[in-house]
Amino acid sequence: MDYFAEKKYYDVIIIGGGITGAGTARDCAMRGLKTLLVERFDFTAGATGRNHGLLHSGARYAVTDKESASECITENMILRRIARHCVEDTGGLFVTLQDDDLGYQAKFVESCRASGINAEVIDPAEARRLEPAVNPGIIGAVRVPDGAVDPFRLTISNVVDAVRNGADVLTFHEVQSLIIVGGKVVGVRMLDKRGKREVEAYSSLVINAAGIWGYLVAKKAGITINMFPAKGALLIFGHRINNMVINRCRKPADADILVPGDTISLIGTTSSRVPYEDIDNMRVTRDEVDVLLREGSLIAPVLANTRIIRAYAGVRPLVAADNDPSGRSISRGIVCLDHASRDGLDGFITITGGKLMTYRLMAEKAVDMACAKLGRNAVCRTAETMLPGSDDMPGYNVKKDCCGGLLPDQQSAVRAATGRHGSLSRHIVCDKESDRAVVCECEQVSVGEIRYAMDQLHADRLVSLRRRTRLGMGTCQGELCACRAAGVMAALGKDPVSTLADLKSFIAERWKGMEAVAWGDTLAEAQLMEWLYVGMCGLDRVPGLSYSKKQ
Amino acid sequence: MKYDTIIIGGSEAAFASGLILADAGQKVAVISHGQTFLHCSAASLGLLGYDKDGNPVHNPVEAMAALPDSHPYSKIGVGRVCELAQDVKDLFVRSGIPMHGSYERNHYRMSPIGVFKPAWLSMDTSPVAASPDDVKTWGKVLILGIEGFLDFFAKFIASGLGAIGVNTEIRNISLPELSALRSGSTEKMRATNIARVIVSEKNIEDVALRINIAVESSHADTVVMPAVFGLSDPLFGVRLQSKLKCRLMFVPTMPVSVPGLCAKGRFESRFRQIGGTLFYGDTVSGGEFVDGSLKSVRTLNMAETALYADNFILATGNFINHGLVASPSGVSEPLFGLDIMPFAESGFTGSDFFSRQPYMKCGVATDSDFRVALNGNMINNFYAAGSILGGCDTLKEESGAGVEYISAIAVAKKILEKKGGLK
Repeated sequence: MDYFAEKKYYDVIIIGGGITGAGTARDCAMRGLKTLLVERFDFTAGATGRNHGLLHSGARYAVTDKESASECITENMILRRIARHCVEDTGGLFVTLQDDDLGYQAKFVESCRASGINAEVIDPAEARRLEPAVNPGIIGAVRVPDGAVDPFRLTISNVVDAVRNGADVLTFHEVQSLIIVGGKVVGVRMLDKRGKREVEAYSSLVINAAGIWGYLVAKKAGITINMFPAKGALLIFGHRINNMVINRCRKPADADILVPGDTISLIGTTSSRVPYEDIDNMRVTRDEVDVLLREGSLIAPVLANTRIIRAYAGVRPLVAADNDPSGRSISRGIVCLDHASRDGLDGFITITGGKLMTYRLMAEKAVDMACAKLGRNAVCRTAETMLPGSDDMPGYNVKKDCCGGLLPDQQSAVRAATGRHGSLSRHIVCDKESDRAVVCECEQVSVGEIRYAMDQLHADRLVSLRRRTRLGMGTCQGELCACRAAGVMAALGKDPVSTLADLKSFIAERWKGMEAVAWGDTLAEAQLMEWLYVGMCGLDRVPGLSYSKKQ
Repeated sequence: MKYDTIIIGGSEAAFASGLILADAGQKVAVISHGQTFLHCSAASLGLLGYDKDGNPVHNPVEAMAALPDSHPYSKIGVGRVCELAQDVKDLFVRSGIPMHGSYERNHYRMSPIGVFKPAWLSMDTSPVAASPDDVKTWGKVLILGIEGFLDFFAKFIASGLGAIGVNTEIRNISLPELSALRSGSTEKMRATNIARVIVSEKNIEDVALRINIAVESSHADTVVMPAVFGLSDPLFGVRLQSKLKCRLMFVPTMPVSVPGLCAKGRFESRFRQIGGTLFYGDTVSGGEFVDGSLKSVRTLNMAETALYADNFILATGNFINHGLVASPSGVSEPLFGLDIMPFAESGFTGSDFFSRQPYMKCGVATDSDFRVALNGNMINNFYAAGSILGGCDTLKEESGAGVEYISAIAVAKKILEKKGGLK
């Protein structure tokens, strides 16, 4: 049935399928608001999928931004509880290198404690024992409650919960304009990118949660938000180098955080202003790679000789105060704008600034404002209520109930799926022989898990599968399993020509992350990839295949 | 230890030149860290499939005239390339792998995703046709997968065949012999693992029975299956075909593919049979150059023993095989630090993956006999062969196998022509 066959009315429409939008949708739905979440591509396609995946303790901001630091440690403790299947408690170190000022450490520790962050000075020898990858020449070390968080899992878990609580979600729908009647926003006009048609939905309130793209959304309503796109580049290394997060104990600067995540490690970031025209096509430059490698190798010398599998960049939505058009006093804090009082446009809220760590608090602020405007009196419960995947079901036994049908000797696939989906993995059905076949060996993804992601996690493209299941995120970066997964998707009913177009886009996107680091083993892999997909398969010669370079 | 020729590398070029030299009576050693038989993976070899504008080539010999001077074919000379092309076919036949095709007229092979690409030589039971239009002579095609085997893209093949008007049907067969692979956590349902299980005459009978049942009810004229049989037997397909009621075609899978591994095994065993020596798992650590010649090489495993030879061939491959290595500061040849061909392209990479990638043309600097150079000086008994030559985009041209094999045989024959080379 056509979803738009009849007019759709909501209390709230949320624009943006990153973590902020997903968290806001969850909060709205849990408070009983009739909610629609709209995303122009796939979930986590923007800055949410392009960051460190760092579960900040807040220590990094303690000296320069006490408010952010306090927010971070509070949210850190909440996420460890409500999103434990997305979090890895690695612990973190702030290390002082030989050329750094050890005097900064005392100020740092004092600031951490003032923000409620448990910062413990430890002996450098103890730090080397805890984290053998750290530069052996460190002269100081502080232990903090940093961790790793998987932004893909966290976002989709919020989406799943929003839907459970009654929200509707639309991916690949791009907002073309806001429908404004009598000085009030009453809905959105969207381009359905698959059906290639315009559709509309109506609401009492629209929340703009589109990150840096929120600037462009607001502009559609004639409103200017004083935002500055700040590009942050990162490198992914081919295996997991460190077990703890390693930070450099100095004023925040380029390439001073090394974060472990599942099977890999990440160094980042840089920070540079970029024009709005570029935000949809971020490419990492050779200069940025040089800085990341040079500075990163100071924290962990082994980085200099470790294979880089990918370089990527996200765009932070930095917001300047309304009275500061030059952007000198940029904050990384949360900005929640009521455009009725600010711009005289009713029915429109923008939630921006902030960071991955504080998404839940951002959502809470935005939905508090929304409830006040709608005259609804509902309390936020997102800090106490477990996210799907982290909740225990009565009588649920991971070994017995999860991934029904996987065989006893497929424990690695069971463990991997449970690690990724937590208790949601009970929805993965592998009772047929064909469902048990393993598609991605690096990450142990089965056909059954792919079917689950397609049916229940809104994944109908390879890039979405990668975000939902880690397929192709391991060392091989999907060299062979991308084709295998495309074959599985086609076998499960996707149109073969559009699936091949999807495969072509996936490979093109992969190269985008390799080009800036196209030397050594990475170039060897790229040439093999070209050998496979151009030479052997002729993917460049499939008739009538249009592919996009932006996913 | 002293050899007539020492070949460094485990590429197809290494074995091709090794076989030619050993056949001529030379004492030959191959030193190789690992082996790759990528070109044979497709079960078809390309000589020159596309011109510089990307249009399909019908007659490779005619199209070679338009190639630039830097191209290995131009260095060899078109007439000579044709002679050597015949030698390549013979090389396969002598190793027990019949090959079909002509260097004067390309045929077409079906790729794993159902795309038809120009080809020069194809193995028995390869999915080939004289032209894309000729595919219609296949009649009704049954695309037959194997339950639990994911490296066969039935839907893509059906879509490709459907686009040229071929009637298809997709089915799966289940082979009980493979149950151990299906449930196994280490041995997966991959092509080469299946080929290790399905080997006996009884296995062939069983597989043939299942295929015939499927063919009968689908009324197919041709059955297309994944190439998962015959790891050590290039004629497995022919034997299976003889038990079937319709035409059989094997679609190659992604590497490691069964045809690739089968060809590698055949080349290896024949090389040993005719007296060749293989040093596997070893890496050359350096060479002794005297008066413009390479006298000997040393390896990591045999650090104490220098290996001497009259001639040397470097067939270590391109970036894929680490025969060339790129770093942020440039490209190098890692074993000897040989001179690299000047890079004429404007950039090293192209931002669109599917457009031409300039790095594809990287190679070592050579003279017209493919002799390599060190610090600007030509080494008179040290040759390069195969994809380390560079000078062309073999993937966009569909010429990788031709350059690989023909340059290798050209170098081997050059060595034999030298005074005293032939024993």
